[in-house]
Amino acid sequence: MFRNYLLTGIRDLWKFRFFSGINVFGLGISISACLLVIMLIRDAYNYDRFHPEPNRIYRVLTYAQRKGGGTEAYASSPYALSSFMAAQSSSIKEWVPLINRFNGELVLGESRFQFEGLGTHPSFFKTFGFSLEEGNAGDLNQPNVIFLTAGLARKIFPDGNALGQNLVWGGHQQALRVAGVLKEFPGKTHLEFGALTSVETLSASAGADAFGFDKNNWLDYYAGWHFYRLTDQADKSKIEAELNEVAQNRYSGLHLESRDAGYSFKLQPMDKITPGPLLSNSIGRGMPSVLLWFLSILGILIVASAGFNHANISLARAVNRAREIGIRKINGAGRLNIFSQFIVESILVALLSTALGILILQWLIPLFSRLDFLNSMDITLRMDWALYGWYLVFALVVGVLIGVLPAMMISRVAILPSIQKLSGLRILPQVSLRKAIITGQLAMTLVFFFLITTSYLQIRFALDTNFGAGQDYMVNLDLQGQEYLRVKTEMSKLPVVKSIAASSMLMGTYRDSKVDVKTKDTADALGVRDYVVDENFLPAFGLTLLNGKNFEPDPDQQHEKQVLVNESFLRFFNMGDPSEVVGKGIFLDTSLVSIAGVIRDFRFKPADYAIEPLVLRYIPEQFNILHLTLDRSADLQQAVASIRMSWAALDPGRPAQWSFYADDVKATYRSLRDILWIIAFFAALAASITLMGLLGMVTYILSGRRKEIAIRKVVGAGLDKLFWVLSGSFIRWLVLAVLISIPLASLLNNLWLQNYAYRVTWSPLWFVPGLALLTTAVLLIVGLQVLRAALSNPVSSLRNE
Amino acid sequence: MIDLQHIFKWVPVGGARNFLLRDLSLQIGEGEFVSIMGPSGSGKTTLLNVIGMLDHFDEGEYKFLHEEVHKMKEKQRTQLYKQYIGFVFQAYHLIDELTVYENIETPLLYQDVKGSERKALVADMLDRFNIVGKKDLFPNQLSGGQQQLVGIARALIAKPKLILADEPTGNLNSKQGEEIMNIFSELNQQGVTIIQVTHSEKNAGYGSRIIELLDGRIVN
Repeated sequence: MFRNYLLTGIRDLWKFRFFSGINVFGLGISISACLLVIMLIRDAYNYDRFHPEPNRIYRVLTYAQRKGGGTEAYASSPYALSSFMAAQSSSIKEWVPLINRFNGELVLGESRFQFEGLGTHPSFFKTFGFSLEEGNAGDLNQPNVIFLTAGLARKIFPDGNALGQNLVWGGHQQALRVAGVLKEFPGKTHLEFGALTSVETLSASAGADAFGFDKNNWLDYYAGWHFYRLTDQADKSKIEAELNEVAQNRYSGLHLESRDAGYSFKLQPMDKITPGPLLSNSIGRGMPSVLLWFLSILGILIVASAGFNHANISLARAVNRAREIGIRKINGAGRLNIFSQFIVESILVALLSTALGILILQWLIPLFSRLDFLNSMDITLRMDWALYGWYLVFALVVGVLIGVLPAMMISRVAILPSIQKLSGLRILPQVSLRKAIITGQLAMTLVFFFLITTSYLQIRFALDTNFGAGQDYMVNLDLQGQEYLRVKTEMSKLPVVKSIAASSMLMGTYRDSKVDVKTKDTADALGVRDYVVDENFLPAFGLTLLNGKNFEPDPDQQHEKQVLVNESFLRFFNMGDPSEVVGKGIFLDTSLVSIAGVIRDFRFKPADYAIEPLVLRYIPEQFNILHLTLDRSADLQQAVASIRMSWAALDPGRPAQWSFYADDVKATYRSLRDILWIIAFFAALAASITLMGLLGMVTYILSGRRKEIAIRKVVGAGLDKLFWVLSGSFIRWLVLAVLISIPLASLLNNLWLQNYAYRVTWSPLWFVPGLALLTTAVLLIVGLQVLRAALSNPVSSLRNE
Repeated sequence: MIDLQHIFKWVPVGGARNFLLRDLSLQIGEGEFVSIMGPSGSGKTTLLNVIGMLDHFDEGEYKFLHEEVHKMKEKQRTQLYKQYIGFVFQAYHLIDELTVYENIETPLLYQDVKGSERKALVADMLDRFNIVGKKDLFPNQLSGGQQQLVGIARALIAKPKLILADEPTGNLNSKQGEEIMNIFSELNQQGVTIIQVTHSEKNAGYGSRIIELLDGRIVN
């Protein structure tokens, strides 16, 4: 029976190659997108599955309530709280702190190695599924030890003898002894680290630098992530309640960070981390579930659209197959038999399409692998056998879903009319439904087109107006801990370098910091964005001083004395006119400084931020970046080469880290560009599916009107009249789609553009490229088919009747 | 075998009824070979379809093998004709996408006959009609007569007690037509009841009884 169905299906597909082709191709490309999404989902569900009891492991999350209202969820939590709780609760079997203050540089002789590490306890190896190649987990109790991952160990000790060797870590006083080497990780994990050390090592170094870590600081919820492995009987919600009770008691007596009103804590299951919610201060990488949902919905939309094409074409063609169905019924087929037959056929189509989709996927994978956001999330796009299994399941599901409606309608066909060639055979659902679907598809395509146009314009706008944009001749040189004056002196000797400014952080990017500001000793502190810059910064970037003076160069200054503020700062603190504030004192954290000058407001953050209050400070030891303005007539490659040579003389151990400011700005908008790329990809899919569906419908409808066309021609209709009569309805669909899509796209555009404080101004011109593109395509498809039908010889059509 | 009592069938036209069958009563016993004749529009095909349970009637009683068809549900009726009735059409009505072999096999598939048994039955049939050599051809590769042979083979494969044939030779030349009619008489001699609709006096001559229809009534 199944064989009979399959044979009929295959032969029928082959007999109507044109429609089958449209069907399989449309489904194939849309399925390829879904296969990609399935690949991403499977990858996301591959994280952290190798731990011994993943369902008993929880992470403590901090929910910081802000003074201005709102709550921000952090993946990290205070060490002091987690430690206190672990000691108090009997339901907690193991506690694993992961302190993120262990990174920078490892030095072995002349070689230096950048690394990211974590400070933890021996419980790390009991709780998580990592194991040791060499060494003893218990040593994670000792101070001044380091455990290396297999990868980092290979890099530092290519000959393999890592154990017992000493490494110097950044500014840490004592050398770290290599006490263990980890095996390769058994699977993917959101925990990203190259090395481990003991918490003791880190607390010993507290105070050594500004990023030190204090075990007893209840207020520091940034420094680490904390995991509990609970006993089998433990009740998660009870522990959460206890945690919040402890927090309530502790934090009520403490002076909280200036922006915070209070904290609450929750436990997050290990297997809900990746894919999981977006959290601030997340460890490592991995796909957030929002993104998975977004992509899945896009994929489903596209497949649904192709599925509608399939249903449309199957139903349209069912008229031709009605006779076969009648015969089958006379020969004893029940409705269920016919239904299953058509389901088998749609599954066949889905399988063929999936096969085609897999082929297309091979081409998509390298294309998507280039996307920055996939790399930054450690996503591997790779085929494996299990994935083929999932694809098969997907194909079957799609086959059934797209087949159900046509199969149901077709199996209902009555015997007699179907074999008696009665022309009034009614199988098709209302034509209006199919019109609605095609109109919907056209509208969806237009919405995609409009979204692409606006994203493109917004990116262009942001790139043009961003701080540092257009600074093609400015090179940012990372000081890498080298002394500011020394590098500056060396670089200023280069003839291509016109001027040199310095700062602590790149303006115009998402990196930022805040300092607590008070205008009076008694006032409440408020967080204000601060950047450290030198006296050349204002002229280098063309910033305008409204009142007062720029910084005086003073490389040897002992205390910070002066700051520059912007106009927003004055408004924010109600300090009055720029001319009145110069010389006034304000408190930064606890130290008193005076306002040397006021600068005009400018955008120092990416376009999604409005201009905020700003403090520019002068602290020579915090300069991290030199901004070298090059001679405009210089050859950029040679200039960069000379900068690298000079750097090599200053610091032979490390290569120069440099970039053009304009490139740094572009990189800031990379995620936006990636999203644009993805939308463009789905738009291309939506467009091709819509157009193929349209092609199928046009061809089918026209073939049903051949007699009418012939009669019209015989009674003397000219080509132009015929063209309008025949294409009128298709053009009406397009017009309707335009009317739907413009408000819809405007709505969606508003939604996402809201995130940008500075956005490209609305213009009706936004709609022109999309409209032009789709209208041309539709006219081409409809026009050619209509023309073909209109030019056909009327006699042959009539004779066939 | 077949007992029709006061059968009425009509289609509403405007407010009035246009009768296709009017107060028609008819008994046909097992083993008969009946020809239904009459001018176009006299209701021949409608009567055949009513007997074959492909079409409903509006009034009257119909007993098939002593079972009351008019009281049955759709499913039971399907079950009944699946089991006892084979159909032969003027237009052959073979499935274009299936080969000769597969076309003949189709009714067995819907009756859940096992594979090996199906093979044997189809082989028998191919043998009987001398079309073994054509078993892998598709209908459009056959002549009309050959197609009708396949149609008959398919109608017989499930061993029906009754064959309903609607102008089986209508599209065939006289030689092919004769061949088909010979097969029918042969079948009838083996005990199969046959009811055919025909325009041809000659074909009607093969049967044991002629029913003459006019305007939905039996006139002889």
